[in-house]
Amino acid sequence: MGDVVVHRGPPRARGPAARLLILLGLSLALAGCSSLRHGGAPDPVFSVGTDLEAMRKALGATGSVTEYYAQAASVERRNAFIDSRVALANLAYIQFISDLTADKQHLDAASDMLILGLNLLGTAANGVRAQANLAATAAGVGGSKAIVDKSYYYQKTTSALVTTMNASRKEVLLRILEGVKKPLADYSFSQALADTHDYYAAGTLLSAVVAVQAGATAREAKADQGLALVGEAKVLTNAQIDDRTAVVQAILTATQNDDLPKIKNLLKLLGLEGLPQNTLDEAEASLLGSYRRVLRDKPELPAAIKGKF
Amino acid sequence: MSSYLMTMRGAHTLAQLQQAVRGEEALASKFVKSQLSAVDGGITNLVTFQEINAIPAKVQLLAHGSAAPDGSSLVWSGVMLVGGSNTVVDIWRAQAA
Repeated sequence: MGDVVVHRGPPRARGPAARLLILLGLSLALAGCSSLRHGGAPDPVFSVGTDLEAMRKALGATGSVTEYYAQAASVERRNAFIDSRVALANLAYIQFISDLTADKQHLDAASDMLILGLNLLGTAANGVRAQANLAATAAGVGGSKAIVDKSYYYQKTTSALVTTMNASRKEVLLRILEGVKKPLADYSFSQALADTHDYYAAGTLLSAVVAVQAGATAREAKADQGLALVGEAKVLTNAQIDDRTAVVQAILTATQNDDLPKIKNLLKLLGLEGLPQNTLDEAEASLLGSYRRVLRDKPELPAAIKGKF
Repeated sequence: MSSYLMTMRGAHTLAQLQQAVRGEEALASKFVKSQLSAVDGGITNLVTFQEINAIPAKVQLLAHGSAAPDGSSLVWSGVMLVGGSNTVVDIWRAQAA
């Protein structure tokens, strides 16, 4: 399989120098990770490298772009190509993760290089918030090294990046699994090729760091659209949900019926009597604008007001 | 009606995430989507809700590929952090009576 697998991440507005620095940093990080293998763990009972080579040979024809175009296109041949590429990517990914997590003993080299990569991304990233988030991440990894066991941060960072890689791979795999059900007209070979490239790329550290950055950028974009991060959603019991439902239903009914006395009573029960309520509009706005905040702060309704809605 | 974001811990079980979504929806809000996001240095579920004028029918969160609950329709499918691991989750909503 002689095809070059390329990273097909989202286009970024970075200069060539910045890109080079990022790739250098991450290459060094990867070199640090793979320099010594199986540290602290028994040798695997099988050789992933040998298996990969055997699979490449066995799947050489079905996993080759050249071979695919040498014969008539068909759904079966397209799907056989996808199966080959996905299988090879899976085995390579297992090997990569195995190396990554076995390198804890080489924390200094690996984590320092990872920090370098994050710092370079922070410098090169577009947007003040994205830079700040990446800088904070790098600080989280490196800033406390003097006072906290280094391996803790290394494990946390590696775990976060592996989690991101796993999630990204699953998202691409879902896309591929949907694609294989479709006829060639709806899921072309070139699209399948692009998706298998994406599947491979999703399992790279560079992709994981970019995905974390994309998350930061997404948060910024949401903020730009007026979406507020309100807080953490608490886990409620069924009884608490039923109580909350009763209160909210009473609020909705009172406001939809323009029932001012009822609205004023609800404001009082929720401890919102200090808000404007001289007119119906004022009272409705006070109640509808505040009840979610009040109820989120009270997962368990006070006994004094429970059942009074 | 405006939309807003809530975080849901990635350490939660699927059942706990379901209760968290149901609890938020009991405020007359509707689940829109969830995405993995870095918040305060950690990866978490960042969930978008939309404020509405009614309490929606209850949702059920199931591992992807589970049998569809009777009388429900699929409202979302995607990756969430569940019990610390990324998991493909389907969210079903009971159809209004």
